[in-house]
Amino acid sequence: MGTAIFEPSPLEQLNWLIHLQYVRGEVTKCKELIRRQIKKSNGKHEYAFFKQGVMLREDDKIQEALESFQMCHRLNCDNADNIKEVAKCLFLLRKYRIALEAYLEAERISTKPDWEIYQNIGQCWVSLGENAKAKEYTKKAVQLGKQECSYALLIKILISEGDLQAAITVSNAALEACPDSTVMLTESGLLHLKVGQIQPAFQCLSSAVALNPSCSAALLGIGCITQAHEEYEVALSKYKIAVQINPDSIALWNNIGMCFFAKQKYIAAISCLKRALWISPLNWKVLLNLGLVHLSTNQPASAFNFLCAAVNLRPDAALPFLALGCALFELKDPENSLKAFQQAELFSKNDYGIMLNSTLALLTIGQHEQALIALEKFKKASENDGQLDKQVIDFSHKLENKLKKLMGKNELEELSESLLENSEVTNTKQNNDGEEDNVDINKNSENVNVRNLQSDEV
Amino acid sequence: MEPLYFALSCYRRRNFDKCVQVCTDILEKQPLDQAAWCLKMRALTKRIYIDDIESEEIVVGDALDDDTVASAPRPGTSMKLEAALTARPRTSTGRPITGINRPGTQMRPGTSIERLKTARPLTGQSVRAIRLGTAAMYSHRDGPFIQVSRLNLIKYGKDPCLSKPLFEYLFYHEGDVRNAMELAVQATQANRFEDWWWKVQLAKCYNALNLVRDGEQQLRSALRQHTHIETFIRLIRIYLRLDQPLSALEICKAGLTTFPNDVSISTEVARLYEGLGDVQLSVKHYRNIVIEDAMNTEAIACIGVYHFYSNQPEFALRHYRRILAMGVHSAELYNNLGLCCLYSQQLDLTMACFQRALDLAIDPLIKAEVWYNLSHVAIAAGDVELAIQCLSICLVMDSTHAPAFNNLAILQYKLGRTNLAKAYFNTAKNLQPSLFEPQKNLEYLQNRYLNTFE
Amino acid sequence: MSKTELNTSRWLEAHSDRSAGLTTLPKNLLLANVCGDGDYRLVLVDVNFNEDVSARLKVYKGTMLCSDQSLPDVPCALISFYVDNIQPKLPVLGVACGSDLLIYKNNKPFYKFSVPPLPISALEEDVWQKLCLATDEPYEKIVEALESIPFSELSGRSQMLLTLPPSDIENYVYKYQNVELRRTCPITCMTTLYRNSEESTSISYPVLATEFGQLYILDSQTFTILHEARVSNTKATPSIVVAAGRYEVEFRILVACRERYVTLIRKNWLEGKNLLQTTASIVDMILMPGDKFVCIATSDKMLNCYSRRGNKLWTVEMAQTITCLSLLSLQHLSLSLIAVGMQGGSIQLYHSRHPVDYIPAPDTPSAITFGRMGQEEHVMVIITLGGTMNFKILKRTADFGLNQDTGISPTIQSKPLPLPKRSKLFLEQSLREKQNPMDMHQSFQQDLIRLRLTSARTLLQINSDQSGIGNTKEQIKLSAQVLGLGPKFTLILTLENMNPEKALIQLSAIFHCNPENYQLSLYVLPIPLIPPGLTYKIHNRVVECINENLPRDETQGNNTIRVFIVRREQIQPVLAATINMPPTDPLAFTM
Repeated sequence: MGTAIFEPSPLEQLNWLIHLQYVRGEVTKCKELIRRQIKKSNGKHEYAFFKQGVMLREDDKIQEALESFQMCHRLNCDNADNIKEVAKCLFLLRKYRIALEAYLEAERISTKPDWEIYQNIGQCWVSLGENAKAKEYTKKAVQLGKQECSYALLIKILISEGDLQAAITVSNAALEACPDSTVMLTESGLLHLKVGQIQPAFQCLSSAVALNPSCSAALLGIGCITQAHEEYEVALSKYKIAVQINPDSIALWNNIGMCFFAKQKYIAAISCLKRALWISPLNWKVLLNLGLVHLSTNQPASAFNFLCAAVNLRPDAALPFLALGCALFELKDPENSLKAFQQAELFSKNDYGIMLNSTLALLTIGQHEQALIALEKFKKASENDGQLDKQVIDFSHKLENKLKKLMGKNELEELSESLLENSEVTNTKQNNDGEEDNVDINKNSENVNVRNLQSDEV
Repeated sequence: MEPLYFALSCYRRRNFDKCVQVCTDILEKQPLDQAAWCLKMRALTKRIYIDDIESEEIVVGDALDDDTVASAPRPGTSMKLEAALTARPRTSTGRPITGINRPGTQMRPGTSIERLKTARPLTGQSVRAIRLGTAAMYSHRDGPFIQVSRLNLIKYGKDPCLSKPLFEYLFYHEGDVRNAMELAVQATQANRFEDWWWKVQLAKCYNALNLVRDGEQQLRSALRQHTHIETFIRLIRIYLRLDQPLSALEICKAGLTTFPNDVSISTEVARLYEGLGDVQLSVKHYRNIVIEDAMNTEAIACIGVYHFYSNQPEFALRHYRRILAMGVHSAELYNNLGLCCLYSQQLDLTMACFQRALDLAIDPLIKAEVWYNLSHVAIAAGDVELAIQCLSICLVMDSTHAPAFNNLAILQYKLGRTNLAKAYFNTAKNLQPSLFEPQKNLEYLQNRYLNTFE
Repeated sequence: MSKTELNTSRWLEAHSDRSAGLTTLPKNLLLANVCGDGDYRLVLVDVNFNEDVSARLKVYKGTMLCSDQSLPDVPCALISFYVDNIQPKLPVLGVACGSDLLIYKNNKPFYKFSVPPLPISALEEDVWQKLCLATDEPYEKIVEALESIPFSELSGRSQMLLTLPPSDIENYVYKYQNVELRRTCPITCMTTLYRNSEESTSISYPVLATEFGQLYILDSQTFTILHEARVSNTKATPSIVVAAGRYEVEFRILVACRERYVTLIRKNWLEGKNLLQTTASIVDMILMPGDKFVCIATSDKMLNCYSRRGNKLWTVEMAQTITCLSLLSLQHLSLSLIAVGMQGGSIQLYHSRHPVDYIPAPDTPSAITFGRMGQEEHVMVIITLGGTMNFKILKRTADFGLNQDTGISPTIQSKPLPLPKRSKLFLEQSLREKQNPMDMHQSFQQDLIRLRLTSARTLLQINSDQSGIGNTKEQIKLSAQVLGLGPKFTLILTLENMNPEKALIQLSAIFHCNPENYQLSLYVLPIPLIPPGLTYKIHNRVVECINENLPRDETQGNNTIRVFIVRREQIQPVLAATINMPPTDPLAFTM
């Protein structure tokens, strides 16, 4: 202060203020300050442009943000951060190839290895569909940064390659790095669940719920496990919490519906499944479950409608065809029912239910010879199976007896009753559905426009 | 019969044209017959009178620049920024579907784009009112009935018998708000600011001239002198125009304490809650309305819609059947009945209803809606091709139907035609930016690489 | 607000001045015994962000302004600390302005410390030497040499020089002819560190961090640098610094950086170590007493807590963007709370991850401090973005009900599923089906077949109009828009090629209308190649021929224009559309 002449203050003098206003969300003030700083510096203020870019990007003006960052890069081409931001903008603009090149350039320039760059390169490769390279870079990022997002990306890549085991290994490593991440715990738990490791899955999910009692994905997973163990009350209590947090989850409503179904509360089951269907009208699993419930409530016409839809949407699964056959049988249309069973047989390997049901259908239309052959086939298939369901055995015996009797005369009543039981056997399998959280396309279900045009003049 | 008496009788029998004719004849003989003149004015007014309370349009983009202060309203205090209702669709103007057509619900996206681009001045007075004024002018071959510019408004303002009919004539028939207001000002002064009726009329004029705050003052002052349902409702409407639903609710409450269970005020309350996204409360008020007035279509229809979207189609069906029993036959009603049948598993009746709806629908826009819903029938039966056909028909009828584009895109995506789907999603997004589904679906499509694990 | 259900307020509203008009940034607000009389004053910096940025240092006694002096620049931080043990004990104020630390004692300027300048590149030095020597070489030429140095590595003087118009250069150079060239380094944040005792009135040292990542610890008596360190080994710009421990024993300094790092510096370290990195920018950072945890507010509305070693312990999401944090040390309750100021004007108090109190503020708080003011022990001072000054006193009886069970959801669990009630009506309706499923099934199937027939028939009927969906086989889409009120309209047709691989070629558009009704500017238009995925727009001006004599007959479809997209040497059009023109407003026409 001694001299009369003040030394001009450097441009960076107020950078801290720009940053402060930005992080506090005082966007208008910050933009004003940036504008002034840029004007004062004759457009040479690197940091101001940098923050301007960041803010523009947050406003979804990505093209403008890109220009701002390119300005930074022009002012200082040695700063890897600028190139990183340019690349990020390019990535958001879905120009993955150029973004990748930019990141590679950033990698070249930066003096130290930077996990963020590796992670982003990985992301670019994923977007370009090159999983192998993506994996390589993401692994680097994981080793360097041990950041949760890198782990998550690596897990995603591994899952898409179908390497669940490796994904589980990575998720375990991730849990060591960030033991408190509910997302990672849930992810890990669901992975374990997918490969059928119930115990570790349950542990992961439980700790996720302990950390965040309202983590709906973890609750769904726990519910699923308990549901599979036929503890429906427990499962329902979990789902109840989850559904309040995530009221639009198809999987949740589906599973709740199936819980009620198992408890033979059919009306509640229908309500829940319809809610799921409302959210996702094209989900064949929900349609199938609805069909099954309606079969149990003696509403074969509705059941047929749901199952028909399910079959149309998923024409290569056995279960919908089997159920469709049952519905047709109820609707006294054994010929078509037989066709459905035969179709189901094409997609399944030795499903006893299908075999027996087609036997029954054959029997009903009077093709006794064929029925006998089908029954023989079943016997052959089930010979070596020690764990045959008692219900199935009973049913096959009944069928056999009937068949023997029926070779002479036609009588059917008891049979159709036992058929229904059998279709319920197939239902229990269905409960396991929905364990994967359906991250499906948002089926526009909210589109039923009800309009009513009475003019309401008084 | 004495001609004036005959004219009066015609007027009472609502044979306004005849009445006007008789009055014209009287006036030809005696041009200064005030009684005939007055009667003619009233007949002319009545002939074209419309209930301007219900036909008032709340114009989008009619924000009053001088009255707006805060740009971001607090949550729950504005109709523009409601918490999204998850399970209910919205109209193209972003308001929730309500079950009944009322001001503000019937704008279509295409027209609103047009509106924004045209230079036509948008005021609170609807275009309809302007048209009516001109139509009246054309109907007189030999010049207008009253030369408004020659009227001595001060004189008429003081005349308690003539001023009111003259005002209504000016306001409704001529559509000349400025002179009508001038007259109202004179009359108010002549009555030493003690006549509430004139204050309400002044408020009407202010409202038409977009001076909403002045209108508010007049109405409040009128209410202090005399509580009247119409005044309450006009005040409510003013707050709606100012986008202050909470103030409007206050007025409703005040109105309901003076006129307990009044249907029209209750209707306002119910609509307000609906607009604010509180469907439960809205339905509660509609239920009260039905208790008062068992034939109130709006209330029944709104309750029906509420049941429909809260997964109780069987109740919705019952309410719509009640409307049907009241003698309403319209495409919309059959359409709704059809949807209710579909979702409550009354499969055999579904198509019958839709067929009736198709037969009754004349307006292509309504036809489009019916076909749109038919696509849902097709989806429910799992017939994707048929659904696409239905949606295509819907779009030909109404090429601005954004949800139809969205659904079409999803179905095309199901069939593996991703680029078609993308194009349709984009169209849907552009047609109706408030619809979030196309946006989400597009993002999903574009990030497919990142999500290809299914 | 639901949070006020925590019975009545624990705070007394002492003073609120909406017209105070203060602009105070966080870290620029403190309570200190600056006069040594035991009457704690409120000290703050009030910044004026108009075209000329200026700042003032203000001291309040209670609500009365008792000292107000101008500062040379916008300070980034304000501290108060004790420099000696002489009685009466009197703290000094430190204000970091630009690259200087200004010390005020007894509200008077006392000392100025400048951060050591940064090295200047040889080239720049050379340039200035040449400039000052006034050689024949034109200034522009000499100055050009500066361009080769990255802008941010120049001194402020050279940066300024480069922005000047050529005509002003001479004057500018002359002005600085005899002044030594310095490259100053702005201070970005500042805190204090106790020397050897953690008593609140014991001597402490200022800790400064600069824009270029240097950290200095100063002796508060001699104002010399005791220790200097780099904040991090990577590029990191400090934005917040906090310190714990004693300089002479052991200390830890945490620096939050704009690059989202938090780095750690300990005694005798010359370079900081990256402790952690957050996912979003750091808004504020607080070291909890005892130096066990550090709480970090980030710009994604999160309040995060990390352990000493940088492990994330918990995260709470706030309802609004966080603007500032403040520590509330309540010794009588042996409790430390964090006050989180949020946008919209609310302050939440957190005891670790649990919200314990909610305080409404007049508007968004900009800076909060808590401590002794005047004779009152527990006062919270809030300065809002709107300029309001607000004092709140914590009631002596206040406890924060920490014994309450804060577990989640007895309420959530007891809530039943949000399922609609199923009534008798539902059962009756399903009974209908149960009684006669066969009929229902058959009739619905028949209906479906009929629907297929109807839809096919309708499609055939309207084949002439394919606007909207377009031709799915050719993957062309056409949409039309009509602008204008009439009688002049503009018709905009958008043709979209939805095919991702093939370009559209050899197409032309044909417009067809009744010439008695409309005149078009275009009737036939060859369409250029449309690349895959792109669109082509056709503008066509339409004039409606208004014929007063002929009554317009709108029923006969006279108000339509038909558009065909045809391919050369193909008989059938690729696409056909009918555009309904709006009627001309007769009123607009006559006007």
